[in-house]
Amino acid sequence: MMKSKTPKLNTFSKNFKVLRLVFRFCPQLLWLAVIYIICSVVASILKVYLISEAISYVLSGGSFIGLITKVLYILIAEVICLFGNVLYEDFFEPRYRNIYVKKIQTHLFKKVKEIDMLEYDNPVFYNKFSRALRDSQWRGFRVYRTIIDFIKSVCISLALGTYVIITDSLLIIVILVSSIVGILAINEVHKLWYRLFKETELEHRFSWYINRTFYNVRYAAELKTTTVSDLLIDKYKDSVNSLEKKTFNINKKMIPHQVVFNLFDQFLAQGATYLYLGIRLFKGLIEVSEFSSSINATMSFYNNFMAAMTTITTLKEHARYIDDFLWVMDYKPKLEKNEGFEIDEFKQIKIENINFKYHESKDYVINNLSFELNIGDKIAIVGHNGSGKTTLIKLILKFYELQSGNIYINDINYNDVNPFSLRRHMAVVFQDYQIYAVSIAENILMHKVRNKADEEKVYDALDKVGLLEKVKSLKQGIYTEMTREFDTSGEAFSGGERQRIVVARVFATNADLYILDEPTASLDPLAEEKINKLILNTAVDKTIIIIAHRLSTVVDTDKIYLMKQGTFTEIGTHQELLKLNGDYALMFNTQKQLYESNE
Amino acid sequence: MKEIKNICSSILCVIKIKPTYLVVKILTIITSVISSLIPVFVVNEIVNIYYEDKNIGRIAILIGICFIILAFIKLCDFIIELYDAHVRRIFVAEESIIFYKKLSSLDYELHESPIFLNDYTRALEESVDHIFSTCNGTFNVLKIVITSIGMFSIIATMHYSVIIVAVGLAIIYTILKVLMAKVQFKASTQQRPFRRMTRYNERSFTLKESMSELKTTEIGDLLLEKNEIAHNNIIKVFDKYIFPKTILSFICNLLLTLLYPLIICVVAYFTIDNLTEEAVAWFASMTVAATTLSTLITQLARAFGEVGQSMVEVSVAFDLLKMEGTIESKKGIDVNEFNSLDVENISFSYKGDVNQLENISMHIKKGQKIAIVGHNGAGKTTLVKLLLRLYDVKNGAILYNNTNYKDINVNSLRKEVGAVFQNVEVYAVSIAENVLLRTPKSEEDFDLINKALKFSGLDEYVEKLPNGINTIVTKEFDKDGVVLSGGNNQRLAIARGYALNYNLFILDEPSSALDPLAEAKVYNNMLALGRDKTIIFISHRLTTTVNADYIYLFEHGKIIEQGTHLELMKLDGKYKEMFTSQSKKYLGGDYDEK
Repeated sequence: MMKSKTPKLNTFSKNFKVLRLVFRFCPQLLWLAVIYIICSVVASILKVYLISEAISYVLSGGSFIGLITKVLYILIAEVICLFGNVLYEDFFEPRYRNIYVKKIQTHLFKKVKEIDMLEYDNPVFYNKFSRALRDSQWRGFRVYRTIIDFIKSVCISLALGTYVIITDSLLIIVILVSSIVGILAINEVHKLWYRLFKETELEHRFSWYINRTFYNVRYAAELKTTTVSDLLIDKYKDSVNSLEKKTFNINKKMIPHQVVFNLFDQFLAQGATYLYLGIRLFKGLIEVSEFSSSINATMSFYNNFMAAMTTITTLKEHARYIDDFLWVMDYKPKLEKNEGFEIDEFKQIKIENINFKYHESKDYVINNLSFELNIGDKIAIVGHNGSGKTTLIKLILKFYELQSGNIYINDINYNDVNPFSLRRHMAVVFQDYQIYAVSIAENILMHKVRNKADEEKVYDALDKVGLLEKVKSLKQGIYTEMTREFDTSGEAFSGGERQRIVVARVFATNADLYILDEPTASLDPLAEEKINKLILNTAVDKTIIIIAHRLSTVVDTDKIYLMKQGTFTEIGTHQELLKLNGDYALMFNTQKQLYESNE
Repeated sequence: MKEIKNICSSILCVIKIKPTYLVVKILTIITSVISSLIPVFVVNEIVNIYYEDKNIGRIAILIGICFIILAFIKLCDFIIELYDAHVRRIFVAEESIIFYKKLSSLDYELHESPIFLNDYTRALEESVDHIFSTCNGTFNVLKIVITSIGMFSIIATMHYSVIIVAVGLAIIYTILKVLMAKVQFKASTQQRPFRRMTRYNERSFTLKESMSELKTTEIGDLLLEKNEIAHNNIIKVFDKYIFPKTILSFICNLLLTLLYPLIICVVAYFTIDNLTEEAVAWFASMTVAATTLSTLITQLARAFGEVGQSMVEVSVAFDLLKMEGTIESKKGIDVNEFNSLDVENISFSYKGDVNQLENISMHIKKGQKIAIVGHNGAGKTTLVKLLLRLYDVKNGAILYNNTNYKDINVNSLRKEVGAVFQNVEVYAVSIAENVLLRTPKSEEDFDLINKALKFSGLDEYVEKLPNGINTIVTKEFDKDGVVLSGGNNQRLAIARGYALNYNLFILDEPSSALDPLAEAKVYNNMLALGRDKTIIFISHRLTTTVNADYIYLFEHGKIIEQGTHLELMKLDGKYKEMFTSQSKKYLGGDYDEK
């Protein structure tokens, strides 16, 4: 008995947690829902009352006019309840649903900022989170609706049950017994559904993956020009077959429980009710009119009882998905917290003997690395792919926790620093930058254009990256939308132009430290040269870190750091490193040879 | 009406894939009618027996039999429910595949149109499910309606006037429902652009690539502001239409509420003056029928609602099925091994835009290594799409072995001509399958994969993996899966190119994410592809041009200079300027180690 109770409690508590959330965002819904339930309960009682009045009136030989009068009173009461119900269902509830979606989406989007970077490297988390975000829009309110329906059905059942007891108290025992057995049997079925859900999680996720891939424009060209679409379809079929096999096996197990349920519910409970009432009728203990009324009341009771059982099934379904949703809501970050020392300006970053590896991997990406960066330094970091360059940047941005060692900013340990305050002093161009469906100005400022000064910043930045002419030639200038997502007159820039916009972001900030990860990878040589010169020559007091493969980019920097297997193996100016004749020299000469081949 | 067409199409879709579904649905209708008739019958019999001989034994047997039947029917319903779920899964799987194949047969430009991206992509992800819901929901409605009619006809045996009343109410109800749907449709249409924006924001907040920027800039706040405005607009539209909707809904529900007492009164009217024993028994069972009917009608309202919701969402899906491609899946001549490619004075622009390419002419012979260079925005990537025939040229012609592209079977063309794109996509399948882009079956297949890995330099990485070429890429479905670094990703792309064994290779910026040593290795591997492969390098890295057989320099969609490296350097034009600015850092000036 205890075992079967615990999982159900879990279901209810999970669903109620979501309910509390809905009420938090839409507090008025609480009393609206109460009124709705009251109206519904009264309406269903009135129905049963109407029938029993009509029956007794007719069978005791009343007049038709008298019947009509009685019916009219009940009808008026029903119409009032109906008005309440319609107002709730068609006006208040849908309106609050929209408000809830707005608030929950805003809340979740704000939460995104607080999630540790670490979690994003884990695809299981990542998919859980994306689904939770999508789910959240309708599931929360659906849970609310299901619970309201459940409470409604329970209240109606109780009300009708009471009505039945008043007329015949023995009947209630029949009802109770069948209800309990029914609930127990159905619970076993529910447990099997849950088991199925867990066992087929992978197949479901794979189906979603295939679906996403086919409809995503990213894969469209490859899907058309190669045979990969057939490959994916084959894998999809395999996954579906596996799903069917598992489902069939578990469905088979459900049937005996269902048999028990139906036997008790239909045969024993309802059949017994009819038999019981029939016997009482035959024995002359009740009149035909009472017999009729009781039958109708019990029928209504069982219908509502079944409805309540169905809502429990729905609640269990919800519960399966709520876990992810609640997990996201309850998530507490380790690093992304708005607490710690505030940084006023950037003076120096000191890295002492740090070691770092990603969560799931065995190999250390950063090995005993030490490094000092002072204000005004313009340095470059070069190295093979996978040598740890981008990871170092992420550590400087306090995206991850170190396994050992320390990083200090202005002599304050990173562990004690407020990450958001820290990052405000850094302007970063990432390798996988994004362009957003907002205006050119907003894509550069990364916030709204607030005043004339902001506009000036945008023009200045565009000029520096060589896009001022092009942007000025557009009808809406810097207010042109940067993709065609919402505005068909929006401008779709080429890859290189987009990269320049992203570099322009850096120029438009007030940051003291610029970090540029492959800032010119998509640019042609002339543009690349121009931007590299620009980056290094802007304000003497800016500090700059450039990561590049293109060694032509780095030759003009103050100091070059060669990264190999997670640590700096060669440090010096371009000339010094060439003289060293080590890895740097090798890389440089290899690139050089490519230009020399024909000469 | 469009909606009725959608419903019929949905039903046909399902039945085509699982014909037994129709039989099962008819079965559910029959069981529904029977199970609603049984209580009515039992009550009637009990009262009749009451008036006859009050034999408890008789009713015991009667009740026993009837409710065993009922229990059995409910069990059948449960099994049918399981079967329904099974049909849903199978249908969704097979219909999805139909959609995937349809999508493949449509032209590439569809994918780049904002309408497709906005209205279709998200909708298609869920639309197959909606097709089934529409079909199933319609049968559900049908079941309830037929059962209701069944109940109703029993009541109507008392007097035909009941039918008139009911039919009248039904007609008014249907008209009102149609009006409500129209209002809802207007509201939804106006809300759509705002919903689009909220979905876009959702994408931005869940894209892994956006995370770094969300954490280091204020873009998140900006997007949140826009999101809030979009939501407020959705609510504004809702408020605009709420009044007519509520009034219509109230009248509809009023009609339904009136039906029940109306029936009771009519039944009562004909019994009240005629209280024979038969009439009493009939009356008793009539009330049961009326109660059942009332429950059914409540269910009907909800069932209508469910069909209504999914019905709207399927339009997108059927629109897609009606589309035809002009390039993909059109018949054409099959091509032979590559010999020559002639681009004859072509021009191209995306829909109504400015010309991306103008008067482009190129001649490529078997075995040549051609370089196409130019700054970004010069039209290089557009040219690639035309060479792969993802788009057709507007003017001029591209000739493969002297046959016009437009006359060629596009699938056979793409076995000969292929590209390694700037952005490399990996799939959540094994490394072997990521290379071959199909399941390796024979010895030759595995041989090819290994050669491809060696060629691209990816073999070193794969050899260290415990599962070798069978390691799954991405960690999404396999904890032991691997995530490829940027460089390995591009090596994979090159391996793919090798395995797909094109005769005309188009290499679009193949080395942008590689460090110098890796870049050099890849470049050398490319050259080592052999005499029989023809290569078009597309790059702005002029390292690739130095040894090319012929170079085309693009600017603003036109070819401004062409020739060999030496010829172009002698020309002293744009090419020389570009080359010098890149190479001087390595070769000349103060930077040389001399």
